Amino acid sequence: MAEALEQDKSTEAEADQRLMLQYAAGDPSAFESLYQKHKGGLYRYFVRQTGDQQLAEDLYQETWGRVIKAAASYETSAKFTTWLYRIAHNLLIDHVRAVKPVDLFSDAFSEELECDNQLPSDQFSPDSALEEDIKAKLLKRCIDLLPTVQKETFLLSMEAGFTAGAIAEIVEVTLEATKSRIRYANKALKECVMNKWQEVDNER
Amino acid sequence: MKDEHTDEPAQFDPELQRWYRKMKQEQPGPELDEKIIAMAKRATDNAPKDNVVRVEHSFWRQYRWPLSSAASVMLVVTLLLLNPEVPQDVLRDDAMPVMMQMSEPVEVQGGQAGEEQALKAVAPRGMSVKPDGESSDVNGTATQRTTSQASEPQSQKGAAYRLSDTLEKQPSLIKSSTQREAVISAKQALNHLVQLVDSKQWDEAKKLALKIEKQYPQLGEPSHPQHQIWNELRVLLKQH
Repeated sequence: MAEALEQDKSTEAEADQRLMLQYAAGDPSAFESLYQKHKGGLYRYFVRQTGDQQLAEDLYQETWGRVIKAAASYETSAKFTTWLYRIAHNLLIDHVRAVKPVDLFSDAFSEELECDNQLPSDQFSPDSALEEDIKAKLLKRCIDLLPTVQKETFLLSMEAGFTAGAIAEIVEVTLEATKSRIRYANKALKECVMNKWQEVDNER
Repeated sequence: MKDEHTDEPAQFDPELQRWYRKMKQEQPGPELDEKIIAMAKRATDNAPKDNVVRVEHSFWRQYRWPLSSAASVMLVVTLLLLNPEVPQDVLRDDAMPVMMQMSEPVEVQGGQAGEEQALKAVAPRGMSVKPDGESSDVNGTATQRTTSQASEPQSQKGAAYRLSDTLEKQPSLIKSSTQREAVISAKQALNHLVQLVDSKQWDEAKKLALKIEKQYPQLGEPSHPQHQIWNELRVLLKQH
């Protein structure tokens, strides 16, 4: 099962590379296919990291702009998704360096207030499907509360299915540091969701 | 965590993964999609122009290092062929006396002939000296140098003679370096003669005096600085 999954991934990676080379050779439809395939994950990577839709869209557009510009120099030795998210990561880092951290925090808090409004009221009965929905919403709040580096690691894994090694390559840290981030993020998110769920349950 | 190997997915808790999949999956708006795809199409439309610029692997550019090396070698070889003796002169041990001879007191007196001779004496062989009044930087510099070299001894000794006197009589001086080395000035010849007279080697002295008389007839002119010494020596030799 795992082997089949791995093979699927390598086939997908090869398909991406082929599409990118076709685009570099002047086929715009190849880019469109590539774009449709990766647009959602990349968009959410920015939206969930910045908490600001306008900023996320700017960075998202800039990332694709850089992919287009660098298409001619794209090397098949690099996996396309790794290359794509590395560009995205670098843009995000540049932005974080350029703005005051306070601004980012204020956005995160306003997002949190929005999430509170979406939480279920007492009148809903907690059957298992509803419980899952609530926990998904709670998870969104918990992701916002994660430290930036752990949040990025989590999103790279969830949105693009990257391995620890690939994440380490994208964010330019050691493999050990990446594994540590994954471990902390996993623990923090699980605890956060369960604590919040407990609060919701108590309120009801 | 199960992620012991780098190529395995970074696994988070299955519950977290499940909840994450249930979260709202935001997507970029259609306008943004169109904008980016249009940007990509524009880039491919402009691509042929870019390619033309990029594919400029011309012969000269591709082989620039071998070509420039070959050109340098050609230049050096050509210079060596044109001036075969210059490096030899520089490296010769006896180059110094020649140079000393060059820096002997010289006064270039107005005339073109004197100037040309001075330039011939200063300029290395292979360099052409223009006979007419065509002035150039090289000529100007050479003339200035010669004049400045001449000015010091002139003031010290209060005497001057034409360089052409020495050189005009011996055109072979310029032609071959071996002959040039053999040339000595009238003053040096007289000094040698004085030494022979002092040591009373009369036969040798008479032979030398004959040679000097032939080679430096200008010593007979009263304006020559060595005229007086020459006359005295001749009188002494006649007495013996």
